[in-house]
Amino acid sequence: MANKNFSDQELEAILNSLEGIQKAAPQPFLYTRLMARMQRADNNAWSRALQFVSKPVYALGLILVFLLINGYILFNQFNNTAEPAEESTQALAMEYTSLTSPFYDNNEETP
Amino acid sequence: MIDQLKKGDESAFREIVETRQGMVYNTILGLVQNAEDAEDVTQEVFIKVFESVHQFKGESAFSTWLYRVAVTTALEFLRKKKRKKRFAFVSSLFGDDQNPLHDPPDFLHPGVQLDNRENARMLMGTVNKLPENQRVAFTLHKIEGLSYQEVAEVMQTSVSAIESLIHRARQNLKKMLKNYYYQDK
Repeated sequence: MANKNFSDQELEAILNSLEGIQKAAPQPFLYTRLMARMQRADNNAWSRALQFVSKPVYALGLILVFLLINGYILFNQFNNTAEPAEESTQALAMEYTSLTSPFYDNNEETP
Repeated sequence: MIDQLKKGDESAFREIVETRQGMVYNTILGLVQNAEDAEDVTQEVFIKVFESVHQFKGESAFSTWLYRVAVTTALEFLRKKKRKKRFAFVSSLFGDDQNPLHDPPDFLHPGVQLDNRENARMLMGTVNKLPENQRVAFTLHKIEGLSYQEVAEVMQTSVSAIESLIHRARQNLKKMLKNYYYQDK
């Protein structure tokens, strides 16, 4: 690699090198290829949906929504399970008490 | 013709593709600087035209609107390509270089005159490094041959803004070309 400094004249020649440029044309039968592509796209609606979702803005948005839903569900579950836990402890205690108390406790002594 | 296209008439669409493909392709080729990519983006432009022609309200000429769609689609394509290149670079850092993306060699527009080829190759390589709006104005004016007035309509700005953009583009190109690095043969 070498460094070349152009003279002002050379620079002008480079800058004017597009003068008289002819227009480029695509390969023949563009319309046929275009129609084939459009038909392929029609047949594959799912891939279009995926293309839409894979755009960074939508993908990040989707992830954010997913995380929010997850957070909401977790938060709700935590709140809901706090009370039933207490209830179930009480129920267990009751059950335990009833089981541990011997049946003869309930029988009154007869003089 | 446009009304027919809005109704989904296939023959109107065909006629628009046949008569306008040259201007769309040439503009896109000037921006993306790769024949295969230009063909791909040209097809994408016509699909967009077919799907969103109802958005064309007739406030400008149809060709101006078509140039706008072409420029926007080409710039989107270039941004996407840049993102892919960055992703490939990051992947390669982690040892996953299954699909490396290389910079293509300097592009030569097929319409350049024979005796200007080397200079044009250098110029196109440098145009690539210009800021987006300068690159668009320069391409539309120098490659597609639009007047300042037409470029201003496509870019939805004033003629004086376009004059200024192209002047700055030339200044930047001069600066970059002054330190042009070339491969010794």
